[in-house]
Amino acid sequence: MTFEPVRVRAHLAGGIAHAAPWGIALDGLLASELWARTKAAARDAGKTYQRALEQDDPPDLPLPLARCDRGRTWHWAATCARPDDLPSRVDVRSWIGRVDQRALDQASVGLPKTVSDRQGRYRARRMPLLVTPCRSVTWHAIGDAAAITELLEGLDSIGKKRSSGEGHVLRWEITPAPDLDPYAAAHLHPDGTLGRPTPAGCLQDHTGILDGGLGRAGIRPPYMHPARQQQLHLPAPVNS
Amino acid sequence: MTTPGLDLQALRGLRAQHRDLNLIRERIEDHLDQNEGYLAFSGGKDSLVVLHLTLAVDPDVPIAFFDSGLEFPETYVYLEQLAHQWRLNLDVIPARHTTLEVLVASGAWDHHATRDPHAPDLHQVLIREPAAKAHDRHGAGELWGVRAEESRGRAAAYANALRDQTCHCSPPCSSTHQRRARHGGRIARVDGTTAYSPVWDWKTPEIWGHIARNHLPTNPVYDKLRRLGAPEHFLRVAHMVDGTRLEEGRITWLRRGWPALFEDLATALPRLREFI
Repeated sequence: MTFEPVRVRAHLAGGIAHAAPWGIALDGLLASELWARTKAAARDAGKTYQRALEQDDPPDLPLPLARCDRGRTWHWAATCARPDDLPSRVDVRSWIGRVDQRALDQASVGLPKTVSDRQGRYRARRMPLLVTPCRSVTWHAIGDAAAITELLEGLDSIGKKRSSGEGHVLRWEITPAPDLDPYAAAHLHPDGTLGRPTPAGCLQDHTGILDGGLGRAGIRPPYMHPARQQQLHLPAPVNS
Repeated sequence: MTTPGLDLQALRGLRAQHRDLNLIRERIEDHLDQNEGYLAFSGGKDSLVVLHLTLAVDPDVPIAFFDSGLEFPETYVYLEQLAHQWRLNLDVIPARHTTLEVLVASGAWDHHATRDPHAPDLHQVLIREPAAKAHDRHGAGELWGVRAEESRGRAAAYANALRDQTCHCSPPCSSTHQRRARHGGRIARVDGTTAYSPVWDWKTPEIWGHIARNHLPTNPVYDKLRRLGAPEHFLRVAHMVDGTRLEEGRITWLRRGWPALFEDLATALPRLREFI
């Protein structure tokens, strides 16, 4: 694989829903797709697999991205998504969740007479869904454009609530970006703000970059795994 | 420069005040004369209005802030600034256990934790105990910003209390409106303490109207939630997490506006991630 600065753009039908104040991570997307393929291959071969989150030391899948090891812990050279037409505010929609009584009947033989949807663990939800309305989002990365394209082309939606039509991707555009210097390609959004959770070591020689403050975050996929969580400089919020 | 016609806050300030503020101030004065006590200030908009009305009557009234240990960081800064600017007689009463300690001890926030039936009760730790301390220090009276509109339970409590009030007015109150204005909002508890909310039957727009009209400094958490897109009914300031309103998206806003704090809290309370 040949690694070079690349610009990855997803053209969206109507925006993208995400819970964090910054966009979804490119390395997370690629790892998710690779992991799905790994699981499918295991099932196809009749083998079992252990969920990454259940492993003490989750594997690092071979993503088609360069590694940045300026900090104490390495991370993939890729940013989180940044809307190209920054909205002034998010679009607040809502989603509703109710427990499927029939599914509960099938899942348990010892159900109580009623499972309340007004209180307790199974209460119904009416939750806000924060959607960033935009026509496209862009990531920077250092990686193999062809391999990235091959992984992403199968994804037709990204972000939260994909099954409800959110984050529908019209097309992917992955192009080499020789105009980007390697540091910017690995860490910064197109507007120069911090584009990914970043160890302090990566920022030592680069001051004045707008970020989202210091906080606990995952450094590389699987981002939710406790072993991947540490104090990092957080990406600049979408609406900053 | 903001244009008043386009500034909702400015428009609210232009609306006429229909409440008899002199009567409210008289009632606050009577309440303090009869019961002494303190004003419970949460850092929210309702208790800010009560604080503003009360300071006009008694600038030295003790202001009790029940510190849950899990307030928004902006609330602590706001409280400090307000105490300095308005020279408040502030009495910060920390909870015996912080909210986070109580939630972790309950075991309800981690699927792998065992439930502790003897874990402290949140209402006891956050409200009853600090209130008892405040009453010990300052007297049996309490001024607060609890409003009937906030929940059915609160509305019922005020309705029941008003029904039990005996009118000694001369001439006696001749209308429901008069009776509500002169006797409403006062709750006498069985432990001998008495709470009075001068804004007990105010609607939310009236609260914001009073704040805008008098240019009162509000907790920056409100502005932050508005910027995030939170709807009006979600603009409430309290401790960051407990078991209420999770199914309405309380944690969604926390995650969006305070991502670093959310991650810290989710480390201690893993089930928080189920509510974003």
